[in-house]
Amino acid sequence: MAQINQADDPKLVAMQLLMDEAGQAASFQEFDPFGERHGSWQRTIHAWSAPDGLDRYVIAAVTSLDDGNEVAVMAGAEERSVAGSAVRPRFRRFDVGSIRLNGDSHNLWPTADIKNLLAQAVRMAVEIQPVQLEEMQLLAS
Amino acid sequence: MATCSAIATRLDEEMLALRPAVVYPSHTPLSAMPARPGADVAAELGGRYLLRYLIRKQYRQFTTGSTSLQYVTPTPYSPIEVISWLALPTPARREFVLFLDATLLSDVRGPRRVSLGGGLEYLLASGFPANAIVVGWPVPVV
Repeated sequence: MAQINQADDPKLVAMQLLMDEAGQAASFQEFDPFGERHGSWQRTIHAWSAPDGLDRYVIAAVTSLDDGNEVAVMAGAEERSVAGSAVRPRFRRFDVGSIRLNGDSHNLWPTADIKNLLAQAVRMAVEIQPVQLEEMQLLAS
Repeated sequence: MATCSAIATRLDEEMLALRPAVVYPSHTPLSAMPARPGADVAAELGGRYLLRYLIRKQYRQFTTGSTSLQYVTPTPYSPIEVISWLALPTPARREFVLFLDATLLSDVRGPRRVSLGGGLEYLLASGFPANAIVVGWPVPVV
């Protein structure tokens, strides 16, 4: 199984297109491009929801494991904070799901399943309400 | 198992606030943060290293450094805590960590609060050279 070594790898380019397609209708735009984030290639798309003051995120991470690649998708929303604020914003995060990717070519990926997962993540991110947000635990965890 | 990730994160926040350093809010995209020389970041951190966590499969991946966008943090976390504080979407254990000498980095962005996580991170827009790796190889997270 070939390891992904650069952001313009065809598999990441394909994933980027699928993310953009999933987020387009809800006005999600690229926040951070694919980069290596502590073990995975990760990309984030984002939409600002002014009426309720929430930043909404969908994150996809592609991880090269011993037995193949895996894509994991996360969705969440966070209240907006200002620069220099000592107050940690409240947020809500969901691990939406993950899919094993077999084969070295993205042409062999279960594209419909990945689209469904991303669409579900966008829905979840959009539907989070301010009342669902939680404070980050401030005491030793 | 008792851990102290919240305290570690809070101490790093207070260290940066006293420099003073601008901690960008979590909704700040990469493109909105200016490039900074590594020497500035090293001074901001008081000479502490930046941490880049690894899964076991990546143990030998960075012997020559990297030219890709990389995410790093100043805060030490256990393999379990790192998932929540840095909002990592996959539960693969980050059992190793690279210590990076910030003085040898270029084009550093941040610090920024991690969205959906609460930790702190810097972004290395052009990766890191091999000689920035302190010790020369990954260190087990213990």
